[in-house]
Amino acid sequence: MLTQQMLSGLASGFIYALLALGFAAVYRSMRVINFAQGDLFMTGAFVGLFLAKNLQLPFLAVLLLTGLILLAFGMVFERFVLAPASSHTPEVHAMIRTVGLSVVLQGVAIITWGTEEYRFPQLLSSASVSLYSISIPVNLLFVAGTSVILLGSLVIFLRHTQLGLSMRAASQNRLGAEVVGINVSLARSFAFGLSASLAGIAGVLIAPLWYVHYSMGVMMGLKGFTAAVLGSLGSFPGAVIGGLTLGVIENLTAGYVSSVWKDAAVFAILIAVLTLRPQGILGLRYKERV
Amino acid sequence: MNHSTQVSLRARLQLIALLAGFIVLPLLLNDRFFQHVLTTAFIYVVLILGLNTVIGLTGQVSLSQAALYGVGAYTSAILAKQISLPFPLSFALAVCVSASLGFLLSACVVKMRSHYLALATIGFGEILINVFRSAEKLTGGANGLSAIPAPRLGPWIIDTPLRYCYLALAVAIACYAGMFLITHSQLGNAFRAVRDNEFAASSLGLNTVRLKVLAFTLGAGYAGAAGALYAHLDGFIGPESFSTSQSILLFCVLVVGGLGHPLGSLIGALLFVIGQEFFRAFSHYQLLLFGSTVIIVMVFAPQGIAGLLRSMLGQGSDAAKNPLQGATWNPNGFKAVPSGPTEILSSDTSALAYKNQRESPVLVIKDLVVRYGGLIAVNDVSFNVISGEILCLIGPNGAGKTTLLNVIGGQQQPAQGSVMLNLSGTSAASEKEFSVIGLQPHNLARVGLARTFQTSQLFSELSTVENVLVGQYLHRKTRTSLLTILFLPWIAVKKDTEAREEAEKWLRFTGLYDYRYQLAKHLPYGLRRALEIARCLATNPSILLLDEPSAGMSPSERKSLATLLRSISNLGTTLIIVAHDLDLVRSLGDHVVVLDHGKVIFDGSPQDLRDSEKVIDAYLGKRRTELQLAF
Repeated sequence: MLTQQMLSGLASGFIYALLALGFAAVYRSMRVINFAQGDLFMTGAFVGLFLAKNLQLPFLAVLLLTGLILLAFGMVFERFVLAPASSHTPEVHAMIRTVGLSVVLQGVAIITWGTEEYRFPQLLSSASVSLYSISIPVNLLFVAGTSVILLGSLVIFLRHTQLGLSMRAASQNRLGAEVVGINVSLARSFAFGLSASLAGIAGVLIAPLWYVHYSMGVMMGLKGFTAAVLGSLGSFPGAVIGGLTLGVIENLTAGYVSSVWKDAAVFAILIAVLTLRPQGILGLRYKERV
Repeated sequence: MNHSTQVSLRARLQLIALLAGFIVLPLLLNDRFFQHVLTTAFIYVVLILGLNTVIGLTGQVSLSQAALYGVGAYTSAILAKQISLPFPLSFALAVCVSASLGFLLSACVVKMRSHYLALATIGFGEILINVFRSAEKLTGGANGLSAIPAPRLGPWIIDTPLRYCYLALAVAIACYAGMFLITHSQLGNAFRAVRDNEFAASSLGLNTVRLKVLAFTLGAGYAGAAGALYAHLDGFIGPESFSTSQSILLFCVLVVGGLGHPLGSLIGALLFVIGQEFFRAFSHYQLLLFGSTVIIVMVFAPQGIAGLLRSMLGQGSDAAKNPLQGATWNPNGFKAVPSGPTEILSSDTSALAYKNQRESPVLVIKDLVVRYGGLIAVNDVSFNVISGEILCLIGPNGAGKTTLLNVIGGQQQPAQGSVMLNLSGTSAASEKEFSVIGLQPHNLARVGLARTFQTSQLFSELSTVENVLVGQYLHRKTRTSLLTILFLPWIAVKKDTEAREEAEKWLRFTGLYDYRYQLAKHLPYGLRRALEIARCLATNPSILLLDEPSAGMSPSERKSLATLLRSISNLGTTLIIVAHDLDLVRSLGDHVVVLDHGKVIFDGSPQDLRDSEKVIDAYLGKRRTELQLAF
């Protein structure tokens, strides 16, 4: 029972981790909390639905294409909506623009798909693998596997590619990066695109397990943000650990305390953690310059 | 934004016109539907005014306003339904319960910053919503509460839309007036100071924790009032009206309307509610329209609609009318002060004074050690500061000067040693001698220790005179409490005027009077440094700590600075100056302490400084002969 709970906790934890990574990427590069993250997740699920149902594409292609589409969308949004005036207005304004995006995405979803719930075609087997006495659904394994691969490639991208390095440089010191010839605006656009893309992929990953609905992203956005802050906002390893911790805590509370009070319990723990350890569970401090 | 303490005639006229319009409007719209819409709009005005206190004035991003609104609604509804409490009482209790929850919330989150704060308030809201949904006996669970009785005020039952509209309008007017008074009071100024620069605010004696808790409590009280009004409007409430998404929407509405000024909240709330009703027919497009409006306003008018209107009407744009380009600080205001520049070089007398006062130290630093990891930044430093003297703290880069100043100013804790303040000669202190270490910055300012910083820490969105008013806020004599502002506003206005006159006196003294309405962020460098000093003087310090006050100043500004510092010293203030500028030290210092590698290598008068071999070695390197001997 306990192991089973922990395992399903880890699965939702990986989804939270993907969203949390998006929050971290945007926060690092522009000190903005991206309130649209949850709705980009929802958009990803709907784009995936369209690709899988209407175009009958295989699952991996759906995953990849959704990622690319959201990457492009995120970059365009950053370039034309967030970037103007970003340097001479407070971050709150950029934050509000992401809230605007979130509402617009929901609005577009309502116009295009209405307010019904959609079932995502099961592209993978719904069987379970039995290991000792624990049954693990294949879907779940796939979610975990894809997330791990994504995280790994993200680390390699940031550490070992030119664009990744310039993104890290731009996030640490904008002026310094500009002086040495880094295209900071491109790096920022890419960071936002990356975060949109991660959210979209998370949406496609979770869609076969859930129903697809225009407001499915609201709670997920909050959870992803919670995960990012739990692991200290701005840190990539923190985002992953925060996401997994949140998933496990949530499932354990639902299983052992009460499923009605699950959300309250999670947020109470969150407030307690923030009060006692304002740097996040890990105590990693992402340095901010005053 | 140019908030002036005195409300101008024009603003008053605008307000009266606005008021008259709102009173006549429900009668003109002789239609139940429109009256209902207007009622909802007034409720939102109250709700968003409350949010503006927290986010707009104090700069704390709080995302639990909708949940606190729900607390007010449920409280009033439950009280009215279950124990048939009359409306005025259930309304008052709703305000109290919401305000107490706001107080509780802020007590938990007050130390958190930006995103942590936003998240904690979201979490708090989610917990409350979970209670609304799950405590079925009390709140009706997901079905909500229905058949909430219509309010009864004495002989009148408020059961028609027109009557309800006037009830909501009365509450909205009261709330707007309260917020207007707060915004224009010294308290509002203190809130904005916390928003702009919390660090500097606490160094000027503002208890930032108390101010933030006050703002949260006030905002929650407003939410409670709005909630109570909402509960009895349709006789039905359900949990989905109070979700976090609603809180985030309210935040949007506030920012689109315009942060900081109550007018922005008014505009935002009215546009939001009326727009929502107007577009109800296109229900599918409602979200899209709302979202795009938010984005478009934020891109083209980041100051919000109120900000746009103000700049179109030419208010708050003094800076644009009065360009500061190339302005340098050239004070002539303190010519009236008896000491002229001629006295500055009369070093004989000051040296004498230095010897005479050796016995009455105002600050005793003993065996002070500060470590950064393995590095010892301040190593076993001891010296005394004599009351009324100008002490110059000099030394090469990295000698530990700023660290030492941070310890005295309460920004940093030493590993060992003591810093004792002895204010027996001055009136400010109740105790005779006490330790500075461990005192919070705002308490340090209250015992008479003020400081400036190496990089200027002004309240950038406040005007020059408002910056000085923040420094003055710690004086009880001219300060006004929230209750005075709300219930005895004429007394508050009178006190604010006095405080402003006092602040203007300091601006004259420092030669900044001509720039009193400029926003601090528009001031050129030299003026900023001068403003920092003026702000500190307003706290009426016994000891003033200055961290490289002359850095980056032009030669003429340096001269002005020396004159100003001498005048400040003549007021009886003890000055501790970290300096690089040796001319300043020679012309001004009564007492010089030289630090090198964290140690005191010289402690004496400026005359002896020139002959000290150690100091010459530290600055110029060892003499050649010695080096040769060493080989």
